[in-house]
Amino acid sequence: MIFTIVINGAPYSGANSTSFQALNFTRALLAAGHTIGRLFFYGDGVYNLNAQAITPQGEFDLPAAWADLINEHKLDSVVCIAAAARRGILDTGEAKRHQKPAPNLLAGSELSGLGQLIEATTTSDRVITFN
Amino acid sequence: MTDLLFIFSHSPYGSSIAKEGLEAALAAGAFDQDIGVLFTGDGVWQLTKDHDTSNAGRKSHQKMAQALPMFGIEKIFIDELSLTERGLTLRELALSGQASSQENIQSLMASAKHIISF
Repeated sequence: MIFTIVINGAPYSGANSTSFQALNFTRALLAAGHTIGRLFFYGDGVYNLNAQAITPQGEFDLPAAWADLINEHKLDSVVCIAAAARRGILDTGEAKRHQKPAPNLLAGSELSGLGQLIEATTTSDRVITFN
Repeated sequence: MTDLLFIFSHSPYGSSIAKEGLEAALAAGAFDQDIGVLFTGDGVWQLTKDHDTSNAGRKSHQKMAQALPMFGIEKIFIDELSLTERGLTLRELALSGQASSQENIQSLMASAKHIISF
């Protein structure tokens, strides 16, 4: 089956990081032979792709794990551009356009609009949201 | 039967999720899709009238909720039990919708092709 995964939760938020659960769920789907149509990072979920995050030694590095998974499986990974901009997650183009000192979007994902989420629902068998 | 059902279950200003959920629903309205929205739990507070956000440091996004029908989203469902639990009635809301029983909501969710919850 084709799955779209919506990640709305920030990394390291509270006792149950839904982003960690989303990561494990995505890994399990791939291991079971399913297809990931798209990952869509929205709301506080955009923080998962912050290249500037530094995880203390010995702790699980969630942003790195997402980036590794996305790049290893060449997943279609979209980050909502409006949600990202208001939280300071910028690619090179956005950093320039808003005259900010540096881009910080982890490689392998692209900033795009909400239309990418709606479009993904039309081509997926299942849409799973992690809030 | 809806292609895409949005479920809103969070209070309007406690976090950004309510506003970003509405933004997603309005964006979906631009697509040729059969869209439904369900307000349930604390999500019904998004629909009470005259939000005064002057002390909240936030812009009211009530107009966004009220704009749903203008964006082609006319299937608006409101959890009847959630209203009752909070001492609210449909007449006190800034958006008209269909009061839905638990049974209605179950079949609504079962028949939706996809559900996105905020």
